[in-house]
Amino acid sequence: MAERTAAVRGRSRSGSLVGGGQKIPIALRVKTLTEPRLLINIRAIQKTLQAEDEDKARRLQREQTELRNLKEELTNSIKQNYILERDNKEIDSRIGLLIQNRVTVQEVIAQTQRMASSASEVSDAALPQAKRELYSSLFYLLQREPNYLGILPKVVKLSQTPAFIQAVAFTLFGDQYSAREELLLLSVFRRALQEEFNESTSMGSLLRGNSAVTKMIREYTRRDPGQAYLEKTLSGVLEAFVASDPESFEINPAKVAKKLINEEEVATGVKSTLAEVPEAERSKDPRVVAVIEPRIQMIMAQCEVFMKQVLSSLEDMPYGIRWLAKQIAIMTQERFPEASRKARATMIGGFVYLRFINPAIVTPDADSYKLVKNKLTAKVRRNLVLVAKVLQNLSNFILFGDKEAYMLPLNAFIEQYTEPLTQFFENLTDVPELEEYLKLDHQFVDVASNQTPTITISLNEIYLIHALLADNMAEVAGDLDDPIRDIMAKLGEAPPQVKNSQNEAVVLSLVPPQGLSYTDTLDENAAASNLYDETKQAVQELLTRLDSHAIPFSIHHTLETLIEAAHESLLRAPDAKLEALVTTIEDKLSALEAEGVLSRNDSHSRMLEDISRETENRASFEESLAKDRAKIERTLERVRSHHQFLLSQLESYNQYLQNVRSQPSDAAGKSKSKKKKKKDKAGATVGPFKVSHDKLLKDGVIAESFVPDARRKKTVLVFSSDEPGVIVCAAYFHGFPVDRYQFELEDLLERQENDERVIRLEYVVLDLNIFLHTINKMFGF
Amino acid sequence: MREYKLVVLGSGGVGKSALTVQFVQNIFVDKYDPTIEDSYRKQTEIDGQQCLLEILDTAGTEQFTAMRDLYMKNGQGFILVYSITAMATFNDLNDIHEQILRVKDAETVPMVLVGNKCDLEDDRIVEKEQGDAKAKEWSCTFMECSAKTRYNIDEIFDDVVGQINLSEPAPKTKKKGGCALL
Repeated sequence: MAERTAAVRGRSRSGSLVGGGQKIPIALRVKTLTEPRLLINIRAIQKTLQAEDEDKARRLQREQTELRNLKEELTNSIKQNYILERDNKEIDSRIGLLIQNRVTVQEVIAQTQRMASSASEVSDAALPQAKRELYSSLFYLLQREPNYLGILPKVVKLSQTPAFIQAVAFTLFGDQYSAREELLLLSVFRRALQEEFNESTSMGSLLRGNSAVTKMIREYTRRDPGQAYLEKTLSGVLEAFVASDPESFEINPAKVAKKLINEEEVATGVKSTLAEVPEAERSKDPRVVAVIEPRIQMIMAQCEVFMKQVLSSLEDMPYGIRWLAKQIAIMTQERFPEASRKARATMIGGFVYLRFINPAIVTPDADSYKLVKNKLTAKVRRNLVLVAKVLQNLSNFILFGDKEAYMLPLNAFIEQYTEPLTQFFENLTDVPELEEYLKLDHQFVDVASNQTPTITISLNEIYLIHALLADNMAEVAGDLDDPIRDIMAKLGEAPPQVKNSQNEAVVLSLVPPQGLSYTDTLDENAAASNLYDETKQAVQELLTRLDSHAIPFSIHHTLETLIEAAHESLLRAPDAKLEALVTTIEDKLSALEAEGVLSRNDSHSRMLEDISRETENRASFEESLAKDRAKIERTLERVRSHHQFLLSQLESYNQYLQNVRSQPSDAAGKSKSKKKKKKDKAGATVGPFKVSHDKLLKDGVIAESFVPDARRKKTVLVFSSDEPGVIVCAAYFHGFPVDRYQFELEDLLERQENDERVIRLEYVVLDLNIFLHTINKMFGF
Repeated sequence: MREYKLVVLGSGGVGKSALTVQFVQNIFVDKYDPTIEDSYRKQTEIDGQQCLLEILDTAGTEQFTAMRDLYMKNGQGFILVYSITAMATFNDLNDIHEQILRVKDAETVPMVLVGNKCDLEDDRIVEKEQGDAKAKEWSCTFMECSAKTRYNIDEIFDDVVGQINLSEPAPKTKKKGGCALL
């Protein structure tokens, strides 16, 4: 936006330069010719400013600050919820292991306690200073240059995906209300999408599976603006649908017939004749047809309700989602130039509809949506499924075929709405470019943008990103001079993932690498825009303080003529405060010029224009402030209630665990043989179990051995456990202890979950699964 | 006639619908048409008995996973499908398997692990041995199949029905024509 204005200005200047030499506001005058709206009336500005008492000015100031604080609180709450949600999921899966008797209830409880504590723990000592500085620079680069991270989704392993997404979407770019972070996050997505497109061979397979990219996009659509859209567009109609409690929409003739038969037989006590009709012919039976036909109309009517909501929701659709849709459309066009208009629209539908809107229609009661208050009944859900099936085919522009023949009559609806929906998908993509948009929208205000940005990140997140980068350096930074290579070289090999209990969170300040003059304008812009605001405020104060008679009447005022007027006024009547103010303004103006934000050539016209516009819009500014605030407060309320929900979920998990613990024979000890061993666990040492090296090798526990052949016969391993879940393994040669290892069951299971297959020790390599099997047998874990 | 409720699960694009439609209707569909939830009925003879299979073909798109719990509660036998051309689809099944055990609250559930698209040998990423190993771990059956060529399709359904018969023998019924496995 700014660039374009500057360009226009430049052109007009060279084209219609008049009068030169003297100190006249050339640019301003030229601009008044093209944009008369910007005629600056200093008197009017002064009047407005002076009419405002100080209270009001202060109040506005305060409100702005409060708004900023609310945004900060919102961002933090959202992050907290994400972490809580992830912890709950983790506990859930641990309980799964518990049910399968793979871990003990004590272990799960211990883990739960660690989670709650680790969420708030921030340690400064977790990373040595030198490493810390390197990581500060590394993440600084990653955060500002989307190309680095954009390459990673395609190489990230499935087991690493959740951690990677957490790191990218929430840790690095977690501030959902910062224009800067939004811009960078979306840029990462664009790059990642591009990679998927580059590797795709057919449109049919594109974005179809569940890849890291689609998972990232899902996380993105589930962030707050997406949720707000779903609520606004669908909550009302969904609640109404649930409340109306319509009769069943079931049109599957087999199910309809079955129900008819049951009802009839229960009512009459006589065998139904419909039961005699073969299944294949039931769909044509008049009794079945009579039920189905009106239902088809009901399904269509409900489809229409949803479709109308969706088609009229264009303006509410979050910008980021529309922008992603636009990228998909552009990339489809580039990659598959021969694709039809409909085929392109299908790609957008596959993203916006299939992955964003339709799941909310089918499961509005899911914890992640909560678009309706109560859980759905089976009947309502099935009704919604039938409706969603139609909408789904519509969004793909596919007519029902023989797959489920009973859906065929609904093709009429699909045909009717194909064109409007195609149009809607195309309109979705009609959005301005990122940079342009983010500057304009009030929602995005850079919070504390003059401070050094910091991120709170866990050690494992750091190590994961480190490892992913190290493994893919060639693709991440093809250029050998790329600054990231230097940092990576100094960092060396990525440390392995640490255990959950050691996975501390650290605070990293993001600072540019030393000696690197990185010419990126983002940070400078942020700092400069703060300076700009301060200067603007000072000029406004000057206008408020200056007596209106002190300023000569003219429509050609510039900052210079104003300052001149101020100097003259000072000569007539000295005023220390005013003098200080003038000096401040002059200093700041020079600084802004040095930054290239303002130019003396156009007499700093931009600032006066801004002040003029803002004063004119004083009322609407207040209004928009109030609107922003209301919006954020609503969001915050929702986020808080979700937080409460997550806490209650955690509470019920804990309750469950407590119950299991108090009745060990019941839920945890499902398999009978475990009982006796459970008792052992509570007590002291189990074992020792002596097993020879060769037996372990034969059984496959030892996958590979470096013990010299001659010694193998005399090598024995002794396993024992005197603490639940902890196994000590001592190696003896000729009866002399030579080595000793300690294993923790939980750590082993964690490795297993992470797809590790072996454990490497000094002299042997253990096969993880067989090792687990063996110790399970020995110790009855 | 005994009825069997079968559920087909797996990631998006692995060919759950293709496999199901091939079994039920002897057609190969290769259109891009993500499923939300389709149900099919098919009468067939397995182990010399007439059976009625009610097959639920589910959504692979992860956004619909909130519905899985319900399917799992209602299903008796499960067909877990991955594509031999995509490792991620193979790994995705771990979560599904775990969820089934949890919902069913049992250590084993009638289940077949299926590697689809075995006609695309050139694009193979998941080795047969990996499928075998996974099935051993889960104590279930493993088969590779091709919905396109119809290779091993009937066998999958035969097998899962056989497992259901073993795990929950048909209730004794006085009606004639009932499954007489007991």
